[in-house]
Amino acid sequence: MFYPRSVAVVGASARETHFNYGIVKGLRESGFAGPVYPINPRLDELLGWPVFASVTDIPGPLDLALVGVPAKAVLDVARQCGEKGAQAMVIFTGGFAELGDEGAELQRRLLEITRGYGMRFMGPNCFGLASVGSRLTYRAGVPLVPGRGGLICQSGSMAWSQALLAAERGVYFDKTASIGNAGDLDATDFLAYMGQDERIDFITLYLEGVTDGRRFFAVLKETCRRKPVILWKAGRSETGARAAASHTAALSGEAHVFRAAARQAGAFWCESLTEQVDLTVGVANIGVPAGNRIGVVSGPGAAGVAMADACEEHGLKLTTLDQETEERLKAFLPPFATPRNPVDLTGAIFDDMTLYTRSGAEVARDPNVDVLLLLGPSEIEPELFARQVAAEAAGWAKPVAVPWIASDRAFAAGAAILRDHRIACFNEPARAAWTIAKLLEYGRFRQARGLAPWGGVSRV
Amino acid sequence: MSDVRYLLEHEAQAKLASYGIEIPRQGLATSATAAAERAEAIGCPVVLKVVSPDVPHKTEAGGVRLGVRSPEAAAEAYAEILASVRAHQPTARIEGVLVAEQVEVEQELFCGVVRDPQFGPVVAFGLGGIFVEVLQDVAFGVTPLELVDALEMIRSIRGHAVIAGARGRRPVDQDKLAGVLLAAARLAVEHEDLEELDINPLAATSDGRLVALDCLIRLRSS
Repeated sequence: MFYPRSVAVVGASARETHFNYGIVKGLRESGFAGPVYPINPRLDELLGWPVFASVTDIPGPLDLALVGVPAKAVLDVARQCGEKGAQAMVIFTGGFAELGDEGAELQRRLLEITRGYGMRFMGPNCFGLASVGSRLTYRAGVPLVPGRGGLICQSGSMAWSQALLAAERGVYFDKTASIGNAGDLDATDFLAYMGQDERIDFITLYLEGVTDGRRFFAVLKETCRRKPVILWKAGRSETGARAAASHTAALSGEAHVFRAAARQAGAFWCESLTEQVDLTVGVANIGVPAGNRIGVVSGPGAAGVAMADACEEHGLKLTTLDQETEERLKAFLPPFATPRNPVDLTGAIFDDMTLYTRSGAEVARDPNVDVLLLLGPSEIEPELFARQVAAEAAGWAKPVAVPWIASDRAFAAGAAILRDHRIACFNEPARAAWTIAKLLEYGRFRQARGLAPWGGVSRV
Repeated sequence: MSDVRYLLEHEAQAKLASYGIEIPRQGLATSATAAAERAEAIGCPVVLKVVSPDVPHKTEAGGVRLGVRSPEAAAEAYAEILASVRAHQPTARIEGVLVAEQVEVEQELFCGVVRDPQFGPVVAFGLGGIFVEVLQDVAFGVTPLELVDALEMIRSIRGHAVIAGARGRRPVDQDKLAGVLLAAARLAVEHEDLEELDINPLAATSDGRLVALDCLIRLRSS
C-alpha cells in the first residue's frame, strides 16, 4: 500500500477544483516513479498521462487503486481491481457506513468483494495516504520531505493540517494514513504497521473512536514500548448506555477510560491540536531529556519570568548552575546582566546578539543542566538570533528548545530558520514547559517498566 | 435489569476472599444462640446484617446493627433484626444474619471494576466518601493490569497525599493496595459474566490492614 509500483486514479477529473484532480496533480508534482493510470471514460489525457476508460483497460500490472467514484460504483470498481490483480485500494468516496444502515450494507459488501480477491483497502470516506519513500501523496501541496514520523488520522483534512503544521515547525512524516470509516484497515492496523516500520521513530495518531478497544490497547502498548505515540482522541460521546448502579460505572465515561488506557499503554495524551503538534515537535526535535533540571538563558525579562512560572507549574526545576559556569558567564556578560540561572542578558542583546550563543554554550555544558532553554529575543532581530543559534546549537550536548514571547511575525521569522536545524520553538513558555514535562513522563514510564531509554529520532 | 443479578453480600465477600482480598472476620448465624457464639468467636464489638436476596437496602429495612458490644447483645440484635425486616418486608426470604468484626477504619478507599464496552474490564480506584462522590477523584486502569500500572493508578489520584500519610495519618501500604487492585482485575478477567464489582468502602484500618467492608458484584445471567 505504501510502496506500490503502479497506481490508478479511478474517477480522475480534469476539473481543477475537483478532489480527484488534486490527487492526479499531487502525483504529477511529487514525482511518483511508477506508472500512473488516470481512469475516466470521458477523458483522453490528463496532466500528460493517457487516461483509460476502465481499470481493465490498463496495459500493465496494477498495485494500488485510488478510487474516487460515487459509492454505488465502488463495488464494480473493486471487482475490476480484484480481477486486475491489484493488492490494495484507497477509497476516498463517502456514502458508506457514515450515512447509516444502507451505507453500512454497501461497505460490508465492499469488504466481502475485496476479501474474496485478497485485497486490502483504506477508507472509505478518507483522504488516503502519503509515502515519502515512493513519492506518493493524496494532494498537491502535502509536504513530501524526508522525516521520521508516522501520521495516522481518522479525518483526512486533519491529516493534511497536521502535516502542514508539523512542517511549519520542521517535522515531517515518512508515511501518512487517513483512515476514514476504516471499513477494512483500521487505526490499529496502521499503528501496528508503523510500530514495526524502521523508517518511523514516532507516531502521531488522531482518533475519534476505535472498533476493538482491547486490540487497540494491546497494539498501542506494544508500540509505545518501541517508540512514542502522540495520541489525540477527540469525541466524547458515550459508546453505549450503561447502567450506573455504582460509582464505578457512573464515573467511567468513555473519555476517562480512553485516557486511562492511553496512559497505561504509554502514549502521550493530547486534548487539542495545539498540544498534539507541540508534542510531535517535542518528540522529534527535543527528545526525552535525561532529567528535569532546566537552564534558562533569556533576553526579554518578561519571558524569563513567564518561563520560571511555567517550569514551577509543570514540575521542572530551574537548576543551580555550577560555580565554574557562573564564573565563566561573569567573565563576558555586562555587569548589569545576571550570570545565574535564569541567565538574564537584559537589553545588552540589542548591542550584542552573540551573548545568547556564548551563554548558551556555557549553560549547556554545565553538569547540573538537562535541558537548555534559550528564550527568543521577542521583537529584536529574530532572524539574527535564529541564525546564530542554528549555527552553534548542534555543538551543544544537551537538548535545546527555544520558547518565545513574541508577535506571530517575529516568532515565525525566527522559527522558520531554527526548524531547519531541528530546534523546537514554542511561542509561549508554558507550552514549552508542558511539552518537556510530558517528554520526561515518557522517560519515567519507560524506566518504571525496565525499558531502555528511548533512542530518539534518527537523522534523515 | 432482568438480565442481571447481584451476588449476596457474603457470597460476594467469599469471592473476594478467594482472590486474596481481606474481608472482615465473619460468620452466618441462623439463630440467636448462633449469633452470640459467632460474636464470641470473632471478638466484640461486632456488626450484624441481615442476609436476604429480597432486601437490597438493609439499613432502611432495619437489617443492620453496628457496634454490638457483647455476645448477649448480639443475640438480642439478631432477634430485633429479624422482627424489623419481617415488619418492613413480610415476604422477604431471610437466609440468616451475618455477624462480622467491626473494623476500625483509618481511611475509606474504594476499588471497583466495570466492564467497558470497548476495553473490557476496567479497574477503578479512589478515596472513599466525598473524594469519589463530589470530586470524582478516580483513577482507571484497563486489563491486563500490571503491578506498575496499579502503583501508578494509586499515585495518580489528586488525593494521593491522604494515603501517603498527610497530616499525621497512618500511611496506607501502597504495595498491598496495588495487590487489591490486581486481585480485583484478575477476578473480573476470570469471570466473563461479571458486569460490575464495587468494593466500597475498602477500609484501611488503624492496624494497617486493607479490608473490603462492603462489596457489590453484579453478574450478567445467561
